[in-house]
Amino acid sequence: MVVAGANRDGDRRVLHLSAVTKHYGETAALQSVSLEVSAGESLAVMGPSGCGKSTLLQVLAGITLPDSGEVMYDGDAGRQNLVLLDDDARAALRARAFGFVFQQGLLLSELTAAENVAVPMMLNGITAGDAVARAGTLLTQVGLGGLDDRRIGQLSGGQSQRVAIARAVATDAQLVFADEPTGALDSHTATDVLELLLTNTVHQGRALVMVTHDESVAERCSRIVRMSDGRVVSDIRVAS
Amino acid sequence: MNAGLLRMLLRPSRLGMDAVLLPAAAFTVATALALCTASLVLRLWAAPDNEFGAYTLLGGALSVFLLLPLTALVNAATRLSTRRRDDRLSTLRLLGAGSRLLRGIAVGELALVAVLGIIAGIVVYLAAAPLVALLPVQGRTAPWGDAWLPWQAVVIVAVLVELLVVALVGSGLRRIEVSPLAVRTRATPRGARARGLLVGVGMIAVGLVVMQLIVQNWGVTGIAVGYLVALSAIMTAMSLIGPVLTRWIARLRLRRATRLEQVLAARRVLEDPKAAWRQVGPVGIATFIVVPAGSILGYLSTIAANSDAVGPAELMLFADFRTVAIVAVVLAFVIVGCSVGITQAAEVLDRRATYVALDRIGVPRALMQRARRKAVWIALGVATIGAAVPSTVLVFPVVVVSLVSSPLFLLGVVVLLILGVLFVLGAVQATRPVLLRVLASPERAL
Repeated sequence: MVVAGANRDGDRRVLHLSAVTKHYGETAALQSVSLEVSAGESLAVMGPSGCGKSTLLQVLAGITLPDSGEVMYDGDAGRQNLVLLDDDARAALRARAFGFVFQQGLLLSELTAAENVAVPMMLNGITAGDAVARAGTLLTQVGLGGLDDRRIGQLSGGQSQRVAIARAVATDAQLVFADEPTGALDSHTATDVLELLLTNTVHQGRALVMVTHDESVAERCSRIVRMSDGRVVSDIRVAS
Repeated sequence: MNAGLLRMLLRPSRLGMDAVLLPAAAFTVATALALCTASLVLRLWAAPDNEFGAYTLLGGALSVFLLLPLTALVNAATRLSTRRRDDRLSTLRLLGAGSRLLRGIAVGELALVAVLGIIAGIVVYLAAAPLVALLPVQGRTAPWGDAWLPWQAVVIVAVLVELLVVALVGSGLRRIEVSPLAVRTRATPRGARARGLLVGVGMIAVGLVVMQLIVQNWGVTGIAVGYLVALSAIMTAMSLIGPVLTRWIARLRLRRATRLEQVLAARRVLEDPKAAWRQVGPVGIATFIVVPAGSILGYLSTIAANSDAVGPAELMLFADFRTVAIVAVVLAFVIVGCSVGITQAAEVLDRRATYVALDRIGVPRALMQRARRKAVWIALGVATIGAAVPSTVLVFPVVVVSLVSSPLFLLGVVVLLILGVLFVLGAVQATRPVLLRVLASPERAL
């Protein structure tokens, strides 16, 4: 078993993965992986295609359940083992405590930019009117002021990712998960989006877990975890 | 066309079974209901006491009335099937397949699926025919030996359904452009326009004027043609007015939305109000007709109960008119329910990525389901309430008389409509397993 836990003394652990295994049929996507994520750190997960990076991110975020092992989340409501929560409870946790920025943004094409950002707020009980109004402020903060009513299809790839970033932090999530957030962008836009993502997450005290193929993107993170064949093969801190 | 290639493409695969099973189910329902309707229509036409051709008209009206929802159901299935093959068609185009080959594949595949559905539909009909035979015509149920249609009639209905499928696939393909990168519609679908509302109101006026002009000395054929024109005008009017009203109501709902499911539902409808309406349009037409029909029946029953001038033949005709009206509305709701179920299942499959996205950001599955129900309800509400109100206004005096003299008839209409609406919403709920299946394998969406 590879134990990867570069947890610095004094850092508050928000997520703790312990001996997690996940199979898709005969294929082992994760093999006894253990990992900790601390508040305020940025963690890049790297590795070749099919090594289990995205599965790891999905297990950490409670999107996919592992076959065995524990996924402990330390939040405002105390410690919770995500493995023991049912679908609705995990969905509620994602809506409340996690934010997501994926390659395609996973934005809803039929909604406007502001409505997309407002979705997590509405899930947390804020009325549509108030949520959309707050979303407008968040969109301005990510440089999309005035584009509130644009549909996702009317935005560029970079603008869509900015919407996704605004949505990810709309509920003051402690943890933001990003899966190849700059993968579909040109290098200039990718730099801007990454900067914005870091500014809105780690610089605000949130933890960021990011899957990426890009070494230059990973180097902007405080920690790089490398995977191969479903295992963590290295876990190093990047000198700031 | 390369027969080997076609055979290879037609081979069913586990992943592509949705594209086969859902349309096949639609064709099964359409064939079974068409045969059941034909069975009743033939009995009406063969009624022994039909001196004034009233039963001929009644049978004709039932056929015309159910033609639209049945066509809508078959159309929904062909659209679904063509959409589910988008990837395959565009990949073949990328590899250099010509238009004729692509058209041949699309038509050939669906024609084959239709044959399977039609055969299953005939089996369902054979089982259901004795139940249809229990419906009384002129006070008599059909004897056991006459419960089933002659085989020639079954073949004719089956061939008509098959031809309808081929025709709709052909016209559907003309509306899309298959490029190597994707399949897209040739032109951006025009939204529901307010101009349609004006034209629709004009069409209703035409229908009503034609109905007023119909007199007994036109003869059976003349009266039948007259009612056909009036009914067609009203159906066309509903299809023009419905999408515009649906869009207006959805906008209103969006403005007043406070919860996420309300926003999602309204936005879903606003994305394509015509498609939202198309799912439930026949319910609007059924409602538009059943309100005056129920009132008139109530009015006639009052006259029958208080007048010696009404003979047993007229009383029998009233009863058969009532039976046909109930059958027509029930079948319209059943067909729409099936159509909605199929369209909703297809919608979930087409929007896999959206539902997976909602799931990932923490939207509860129950909320997604509520949003889907609300989206259907917006158009369904327009279809029922939006059709019931003007039709009540049009025959207001009769409705008032019926309400006072025989309120049970109108109550029956209201109960029938409520049950129909619940059935259609139940059809949305029935597609929940499809949603759960999509969420259980999110990797296919990304």
